[in-house]
Amino acid sequence: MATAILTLLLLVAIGAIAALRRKILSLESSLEAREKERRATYDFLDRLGTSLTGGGEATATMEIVVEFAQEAAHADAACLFVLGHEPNAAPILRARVVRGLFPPLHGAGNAKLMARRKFVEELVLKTAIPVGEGPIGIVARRGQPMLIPNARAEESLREAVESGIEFRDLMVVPLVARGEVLGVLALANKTTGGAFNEEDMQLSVAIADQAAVTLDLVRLYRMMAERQRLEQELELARTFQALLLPRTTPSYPNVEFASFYRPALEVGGDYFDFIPIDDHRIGIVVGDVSGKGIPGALVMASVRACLRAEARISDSPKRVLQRVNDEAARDTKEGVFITMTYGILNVETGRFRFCRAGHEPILCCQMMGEAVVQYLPEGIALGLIEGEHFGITAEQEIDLSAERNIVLYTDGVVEAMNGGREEYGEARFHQVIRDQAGNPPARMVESVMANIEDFTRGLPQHDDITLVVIGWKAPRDPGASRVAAVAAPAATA
Amino acid sequence: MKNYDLVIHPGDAPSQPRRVELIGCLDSHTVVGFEKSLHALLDEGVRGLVIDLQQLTYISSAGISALMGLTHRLRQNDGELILLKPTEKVNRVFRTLGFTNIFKIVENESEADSSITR
Repeated sequence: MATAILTLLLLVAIGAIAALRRKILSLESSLEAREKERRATYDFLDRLGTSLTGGGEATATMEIVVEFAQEAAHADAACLFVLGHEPNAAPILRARVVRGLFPPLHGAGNAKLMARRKFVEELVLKTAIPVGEGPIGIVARRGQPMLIPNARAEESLREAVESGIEFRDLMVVPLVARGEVLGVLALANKTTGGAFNEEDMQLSVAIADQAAVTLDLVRLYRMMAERQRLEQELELARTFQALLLPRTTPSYPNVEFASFYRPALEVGGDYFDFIPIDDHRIGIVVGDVSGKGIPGALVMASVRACLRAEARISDSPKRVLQRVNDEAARDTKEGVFITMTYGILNVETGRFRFCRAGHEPILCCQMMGEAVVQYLPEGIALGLIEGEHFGITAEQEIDLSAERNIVLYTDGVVEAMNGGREEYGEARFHQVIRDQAGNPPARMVESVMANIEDFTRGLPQHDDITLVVIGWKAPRDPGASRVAAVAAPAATA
Repeated sequence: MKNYDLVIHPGDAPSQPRRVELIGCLDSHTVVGFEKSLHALLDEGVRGLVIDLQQLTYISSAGISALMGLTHRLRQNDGELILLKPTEKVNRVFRTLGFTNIFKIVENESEADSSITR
């Protein structure tokens, strides 16, 4: 679309600029000169267009503009100032491109140094002018061009006039796009006899208009490219994460599973997995990485690899998490941590031995209407401290055949928010679990998610949601009394 | 956007612990300013930091990470970070994460002072 706009503008500009130049050259009879100018105009517009399609680099565009303006307007020197908006400061014009010996508006002093062209150029490029000050600042404020046929008569230019650098006349034109002043173009010392006049001004205004439109498009392009890049990065992270999560849910004669996972619009870093260890044991994990985007996804991938490797060779959840912790503490960036619950379920006996590394409590609800029981054994999130300090993390056991349900989740569930910035919360979550206890895990998962949808009223998610429900299928053994969860003695590392 | 404020009390002497009050929400939006301000204090040579959490209503994992980073840096230089009187809600987050084993969390000012003095 930008190309179409640019083409249109080119056509208009070609017409305008070509017409003006013809007018100026009408006094010259030489056809050759006119042809040369026409080619120069096309060349300028073409280069402007190229600078835009090449990805848009503002400085390159500005250099093209200043070079052309200086030649077309027969100015000995030209300078382009860009209007900058710095936070907590008044807007200020800074010189960005200079060509020729442009008189420094401030700071000229040492006559000896002023004799050196390089020094003068550097001085000009350091110029910063507040909006409203002098001809440059006034043009920026008003958005209207200014013609100064005699610089010596201008009080505000006295410092520049006395700098020792030749300063006869000046044209100052604003660069305005969509009603906004982007900068100011200043042209000094007409070369072809006489001072700058109205026609010279009109040409300069046409050039400045074209430049403003181009610079505006450069700015827009950059913003679009940045947004696109960010979106691509997030999309990549999301695809990556989805690849690493289980695609099928396991099923056994005595045990059934149900799960729900939905990433937020901003990538969060939840993780869950089912890791078969042998034909009667399966590892179950739910976790949450603190980092977002690609860094978070990479941490998750690394944790998953380490966990799956350790899970197959160890029957102690604590030992598995200890190894994962050591890896994470060594490799992850400062401040990144992972909360995780990992447990091993014996699908024949229902014994679930687990470890909670700083993660949400593990919930159980024996029967519809019964209170929800929370298991919160000691544990520290992974990735924060190395070695033996992790030792306080304790293993605990739950008998699924007695408890009937085990619910694992991430904080995205209880922290889901509605329009009033209210959190879904534990109370509502536990209530649904109580209402659904005894029903198949899939029913419980569905009901929780429906309840959350109802609460948030479709407001975008701000954190990943993960929910895993494990249910015991076998009929309830009438002789089994409720087994109190046995806390395994905290083993030393 | 939730509210946030950070009040930094002037220090008596460079060797004395500095007291700061953290107010409102510490989440991924507000954490940038928070880290900038506090790491600047550490750049000045502050080695003891007491962060008053009485008015902190919410902390996200980004906030936790920031506190972790500060703790780590202070301890590397034989210093300490003290968290003073977190609210029940915030304390619960610390407990769930197991941070009560990592952070120094105290309930009153005198404990804070004695925890830092070495």
